[in-house]
Amino acid sequence: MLNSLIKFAECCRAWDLRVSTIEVMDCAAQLNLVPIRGENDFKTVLRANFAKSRREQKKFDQVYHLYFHQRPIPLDHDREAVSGEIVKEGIEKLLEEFVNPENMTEAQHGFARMIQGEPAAFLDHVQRLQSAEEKRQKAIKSNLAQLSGKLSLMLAISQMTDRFIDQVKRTETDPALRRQLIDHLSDRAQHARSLISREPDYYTDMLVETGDTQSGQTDLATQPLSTMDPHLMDDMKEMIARLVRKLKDQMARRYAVKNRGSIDVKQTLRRSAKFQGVPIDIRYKAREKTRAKIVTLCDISGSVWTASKFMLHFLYSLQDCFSRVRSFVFVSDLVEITDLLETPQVSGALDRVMSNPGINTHARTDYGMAFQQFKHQALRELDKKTTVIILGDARSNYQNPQAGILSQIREKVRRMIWLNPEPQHTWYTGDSEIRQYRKHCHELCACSNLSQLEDFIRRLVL
Amino acid sequence: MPFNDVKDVQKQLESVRYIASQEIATVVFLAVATEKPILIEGPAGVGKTQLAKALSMCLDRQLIRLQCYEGLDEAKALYEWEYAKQLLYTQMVKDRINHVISDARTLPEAVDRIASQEDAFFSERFVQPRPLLQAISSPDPVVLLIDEVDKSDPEFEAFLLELLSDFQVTIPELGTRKPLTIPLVILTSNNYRDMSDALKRRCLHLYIDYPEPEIEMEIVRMKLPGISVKLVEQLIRTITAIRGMELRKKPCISESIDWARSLIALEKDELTLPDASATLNTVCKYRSDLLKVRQQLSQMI
Ligand SMILES: Nc1ncnc2c1ncn2[C@@H]1O[C@H](COP(=O)(O)OP(=O)(O)OP(=O)(O)O)[C@@H](O)[C@H]1O
Ligand SMILES: [Mg+2]
Repeated sequence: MLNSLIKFAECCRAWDLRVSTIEVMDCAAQLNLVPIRGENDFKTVLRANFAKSRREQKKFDQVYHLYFHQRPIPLDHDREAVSGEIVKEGIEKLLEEFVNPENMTEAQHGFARMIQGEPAAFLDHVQRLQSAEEKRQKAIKSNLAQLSGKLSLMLAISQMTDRFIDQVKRTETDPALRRQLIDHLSDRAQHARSLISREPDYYTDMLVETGDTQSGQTDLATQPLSTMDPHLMDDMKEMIARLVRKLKDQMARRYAVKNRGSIDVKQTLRRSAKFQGVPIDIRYKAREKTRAKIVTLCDISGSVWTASKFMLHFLYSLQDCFSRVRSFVFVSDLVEITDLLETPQVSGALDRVMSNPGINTHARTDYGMAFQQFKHQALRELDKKTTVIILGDARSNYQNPQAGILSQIREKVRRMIWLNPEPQHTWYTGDSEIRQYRKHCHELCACSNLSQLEDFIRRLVL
Repeated sequence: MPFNDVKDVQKQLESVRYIASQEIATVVFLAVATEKPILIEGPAGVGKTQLAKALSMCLDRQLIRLQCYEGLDEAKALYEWEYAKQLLYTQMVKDRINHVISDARTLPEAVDRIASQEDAFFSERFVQPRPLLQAISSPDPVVLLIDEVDKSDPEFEAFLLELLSDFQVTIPELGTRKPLTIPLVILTSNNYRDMSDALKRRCLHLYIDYPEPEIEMEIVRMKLPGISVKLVEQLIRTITAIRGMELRKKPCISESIDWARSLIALEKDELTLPDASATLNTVCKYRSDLLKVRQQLSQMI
């Protein structure tokens, strides 16, 4: 059993789950403590030890299924069925004849091992392929790097499977064994293909999603930001200023109550001198306000720009609530505008963003590329006090979404929040990648009007 | 061993009115048997906190609860050193101190004499224990519930990790405190942020989802014994369908119970569309959800 668990753990790691040796040992010991009456009991024990968050359970489930349900299990009433051992021998023989380890590619080797019941190497190969970055291309932009990698892997699998099946048909005389060998090979090939074609997956039940709220009234606060009339801009700014004052008031009140920290010995002793050394007047330290670092990534293409602008305006008006705010904007290339915005006149500075030479407003929006650049520019400076806020419609013109990068960012930071300025019923349509991106967020909020934006900012600062 | 086997966990939890699935019971059994903490995740209102309470009841152990929040620190969670009290005591025994050192010939000798009395100055009596210290200093093992651990700061998590590894703590003024008993630790999280790998490694993980319809029916019947079979079935079927919708807040177990209760108050023994629609506000807390569900209600009953 332990041996099998160790191999399973290896597959989990290849699929990017962190499983330590201690956990494997613990799990083995626990399997002896509970009666395993059925597969569910077995899976429960493994899952409690190998997947340590709801999010990761999906990957666990995938690997579990791949590893423990490898062979099409012969049914009891199937009289022709050949025992697993003989099938295994048949497979070994097949591979021996065909596979020459020296001139096999890594992909072929991985798949061969998978047929033998050891999928770790194959999982590792696919995992690396999925997380490979796109190369920056000047002339024609494409997402071919990852795609072509996947295609050649698919091809290798088909070729190998065909060759093996062909060989089985020609040489295996026992019809029952022949059928089972072919079943096994096609089953493995199908599994391998589905691993390649699907993005690494996560359960999202724990994601907080705030969608549209139907409120009856229509006023400035519920007007869609994307179609905001230019002559209403000043009214909007006025309104934001009012909201900012209100929020600051509320914060000040809350802070006053929670503010008392632990006793300040130095101060207390100093005061006690007045009373012949008796510490009557006890002094407390004011508690350090825990202030978050904020990093924003805003799409500024087309209709999304208005929402980005108001969000940044709002955020910078509350700048003293945070220990640091860094801001990046992108269409396809990423530009940091933190310095530009660190002025008392945020609103004016925002109007100048578009004239930044680094921004090509004619480029096609490419989220994947923006995330990739963000990773290289800023990942090292992110920490567990940072909240990352991404604002955008996730419409990436069918280019490689590179969602895996968001997962890497998430691991570094405290929280990852996505603000989507589109009305909710259009989120999952067309070229929107929000379905991929949401898997890596802690929170996904609609922010198509000022009222939704305010709700979000309130939750952020209070 | 407090529990004989997994079945026994289920039985004992049921005796304190908590219905546990096979999965919950298995993980609880393992946690108790191996003295490992359980990290529980799940949507709001599926009974995460209630499980800790039920365990404390059926194991007949005290429940010590630590509610986490941003800014929670060691002083609030572990112990507070009562400087003020210590200073006052020192003042009050000034004469005794003078007496102790009165016949000392040199300054070092005086210091030595005071040092030999150190225990009096640094003693338990100036320690105000908070939940975590209470939990490991209790002569009888307790159930320690660390609720919403995801709301705490990373610094606090690091400290917690140290505690969970061997249950001993160091109090600078007193030295290392070994645990008198090992508590059964239950941590809950709503995924506000991710917990560190190190913390997760120490724990068994349990995800509690909305219960299977049969289990939820059992819960409602247990809370409201008089309810008609037909009503429970219809109600839970409808609730399950509502949970499948995209809502701001999905109804949880307490909402099923509240809904059943209000229908019983209206003396109903089955669920009709008009009654359901009229009482829907016990199920949907947001107006937008209410409108959405009401539109679809006829297909769900
Ligand atoms: N398995 C169960 N058996 C009996 N009652 C249950 C069960 N699960 C939940 N309940 C009922 O649901 C109520 C809500 O549960 P509880 O407060 O523990 O939820 P929670 O998961 O801690 O929610 P939150 O995430 O909001 O803290 C409990 O008061 C209890 O009455
Ligand atoms: Mg709770």
